[in-house]
Amino acid sequence: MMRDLLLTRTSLVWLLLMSATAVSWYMSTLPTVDVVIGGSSMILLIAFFKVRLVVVHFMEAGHAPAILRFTSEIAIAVACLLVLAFYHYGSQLVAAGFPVS
Amino acid sequence: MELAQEIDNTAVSVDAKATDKHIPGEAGVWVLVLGDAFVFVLLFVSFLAYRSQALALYSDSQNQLNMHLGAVNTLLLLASSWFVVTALHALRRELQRLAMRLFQLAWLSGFGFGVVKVIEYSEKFEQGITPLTNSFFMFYFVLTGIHFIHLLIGLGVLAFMMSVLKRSKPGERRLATLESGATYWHLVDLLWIVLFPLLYLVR
Repeated sequence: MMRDLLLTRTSLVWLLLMSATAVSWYMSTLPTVDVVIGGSSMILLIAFFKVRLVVVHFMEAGHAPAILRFTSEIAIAVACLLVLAFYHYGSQLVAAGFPVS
Repeated sequence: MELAQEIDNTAVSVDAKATDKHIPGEAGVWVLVLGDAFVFVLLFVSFLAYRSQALALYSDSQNQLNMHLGAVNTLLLLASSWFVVTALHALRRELQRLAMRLFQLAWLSGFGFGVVKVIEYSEKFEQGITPLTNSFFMFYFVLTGIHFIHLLIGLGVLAFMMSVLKRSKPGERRLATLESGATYWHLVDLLWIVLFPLLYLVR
């Protein structure tokens, strides 16, 4: 019975989350990874993928009514796009009027 | 032994609660989660905007952070979240004692995060680094500080959840209360999931 409780999709998701963390941790130690595969963008994408896994599987938005699930999914996608946009084009967005003192 | 007996004596049926389409916990908690996440996204983009104006300073400052402590903390919160979600699964199968143990482990993992964070802050202060050192460290202390407050509230919520589990009777109402607490605790986890790479890893 214990096996039924532990061998679940949630546990699989947890292992995936731990592995993704290890990959990001390792990638950030590679000196040339930015040049080769845009490592930092990849690290941010992995982060938002992890956020989605937590929201859908741990917070159980995957079992929630469609309105909550879609609101969550859209919010995560918008947050990811905003963070990536400011990471890559921060100085242009500041020049276009985003306030910094 | 008692735990094993409790588990063995429980018929594992298809978990109706888990398969039904329902909002986990109270809807109000989700409004809080979305609102809180929105404020954090604004802080993240502000951090990146300031960073774009002083890339060398932010890179040098980032090198003074202890990435390994940040990564250990990520693993602690992920483990804590898994304990909480597994505790809810256990509760739906009426494995109350096991659920309590899992909530206790979740609390300890969260507490471990707090201890590591205090060690990290101490390291910084010993090196003479404060929020006034430069704008990177202002963001570092403000963002991790606000998150730390969320963590302390979360530890209180987990303690409350354990008290509810101990004192109240099984039922829909109790499950909804515990799901609400769990939803808040996962928020603490997911905020850190973005904070960690943003402050410690992204070059």
